[in-house]
Amino acid sequence: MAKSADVILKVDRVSKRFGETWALRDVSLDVYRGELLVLLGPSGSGKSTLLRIIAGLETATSGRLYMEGVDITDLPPYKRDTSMVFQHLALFPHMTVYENVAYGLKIRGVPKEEIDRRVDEVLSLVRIRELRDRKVTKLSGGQQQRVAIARSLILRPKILLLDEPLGALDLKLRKELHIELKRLHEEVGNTWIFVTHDQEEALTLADRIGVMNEGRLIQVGEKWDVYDYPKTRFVAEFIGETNMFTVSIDDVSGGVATGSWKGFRVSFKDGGFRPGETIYLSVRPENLHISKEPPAGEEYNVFHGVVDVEVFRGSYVIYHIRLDNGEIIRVTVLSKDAEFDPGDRVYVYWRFDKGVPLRE
Amino acid sequence: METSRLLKIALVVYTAFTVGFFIYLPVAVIIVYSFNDVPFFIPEWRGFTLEWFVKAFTRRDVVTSLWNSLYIAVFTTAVSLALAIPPTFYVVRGRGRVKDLYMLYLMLPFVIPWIIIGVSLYIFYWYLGIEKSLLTAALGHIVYSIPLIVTLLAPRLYSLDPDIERASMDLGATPWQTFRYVVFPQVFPAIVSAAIITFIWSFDNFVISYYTLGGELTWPVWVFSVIGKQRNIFPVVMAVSTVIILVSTVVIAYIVKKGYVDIL
Repeated sequence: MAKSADVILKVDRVSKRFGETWALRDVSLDVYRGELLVLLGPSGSGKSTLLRIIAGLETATSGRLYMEGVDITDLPPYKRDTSMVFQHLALFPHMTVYENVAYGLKIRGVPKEEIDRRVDEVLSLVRIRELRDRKVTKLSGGQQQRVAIARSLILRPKILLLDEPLGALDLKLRKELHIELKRLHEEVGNTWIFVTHDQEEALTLADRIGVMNEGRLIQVGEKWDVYDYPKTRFVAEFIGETNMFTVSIDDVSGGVATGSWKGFRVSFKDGGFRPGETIYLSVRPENLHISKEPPAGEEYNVFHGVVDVEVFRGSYVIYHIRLDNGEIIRVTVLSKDAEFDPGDRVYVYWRFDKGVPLRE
Repeated sequence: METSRLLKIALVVYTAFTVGFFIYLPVAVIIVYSFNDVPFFIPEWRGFTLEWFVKAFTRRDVVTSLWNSLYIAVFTTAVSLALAIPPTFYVVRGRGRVKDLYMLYLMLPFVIPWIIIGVSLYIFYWYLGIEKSLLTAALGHIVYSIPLIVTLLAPRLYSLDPDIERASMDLGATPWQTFRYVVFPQVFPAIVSAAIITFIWSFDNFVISYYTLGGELTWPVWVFSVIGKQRNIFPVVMAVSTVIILVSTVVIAYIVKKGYVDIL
């Protein structure tokens, strides 16, 4: 978990323009020592550009970067204490595993005995010691992945940058490597910034997540917070599944705001709203419940509808419910509690405080 | 199914036959008859002799012309590589209109006929009062070799992932170290191929050489100057050809076997 006091990298109001388009707009970010920060966003959101600026492979149009308080904005990549694992790995194809991994130390003129020792050490760490003398072009995707990480880790960089490094691998292998990377991050203990467009990957790996869209950093926080308390519709919809209701507020009293959504009454926690305001209410499918009887108690929003589609996902089931106002909402239920069939008339409900109201 | 397979075989055989009949067969005839004990060419075997080889390589004009060809080909290859490699990077990696115009400017000599290059240089040297020599002929070869090398190297450079160079710099290498340890080794086989092709082209060239040489002749120009003019010169030409073919075959086989080339 992040140690919040200790900022290793400070990104201060960085913008980047490519020709007419802004790839980054005014991004500020504190990265904490020892954390695994995931930058998450769709393609074109600027996350890779930010990573490349941190690595020194791109220059910022404006803004500054500070590493441990020192301005590194104008340093070339080979003078920065960061190391990058590239999207397509960018291994040196004419070299063996050993030569690839030893490259950075050889450039620094480290004596051969020490290089050998450290190569063995880091190859053991990523568990490919037996591949030491193989040509990298002869390795599998997962093995190449490990070589790329070892090549960076051997330099003991203060920050390891990973640019969608698992993008080319199949799902099963990715999932294996997620666990492997978590373990590796724990063992090495340095700071990692990991870029991905895959929200599941982000949730699996991250201590904290930074969500990016259209060149802006929209929200940064502990992954639970980002998931449970998204700041915008974009974040709510990009991370995880959600049901989004557009609600016109007509009453605010006693810490509870109430409004209408397409004929249904909806209440949620007041966030300083005024009657007449329109907000978006995000409710995660796992926070919704269904039953054939209406729930007892005042603290629920209750809708009524018919089960439309049942999607079996192994350990859980997603029900698509067609509400009486014609809209579809999605509810997830653990498979052992999934006792409904398409056509069943049901009540759908959730506690007031499980809905997250969003202004933008 | 059967027809399409037959068609494929037919096409492959057809090409093999054309190459064999129009290139290997005539060359084989030259090689075989260079050992024929007759002081001119007749399609009839009169016995084995090495006399023509001895004769050829004791003739001063023959040996000099071979050395001259070698000298021009080596000089052309070395200078053209040095001149062509840096702009190839610019042409491949650069962007925009200036780059496009520069590329056009470099590549244009490729489509100028050799005879035009030769004749225009002939006039140009005369006009400037430059005395023609092996060097002026080599310059004529270089004009054409630069676009040739750019054409041969560019595809290889295009295929390099620029992230590999970024990775190198990210790992602490300066741009120069990156070129030395990462780019150059990857491009080296293509450079060897380009060097071989340039060398062979320059060694063989007649048209440009003919107009740009001074008193000293290269091997192809020497052949042109004696064929049909000196009696009994055919066996000498055939003997030298045999040696050239055998030497180049051995050299190329060695380079390929060593793995220095990947596209030849």
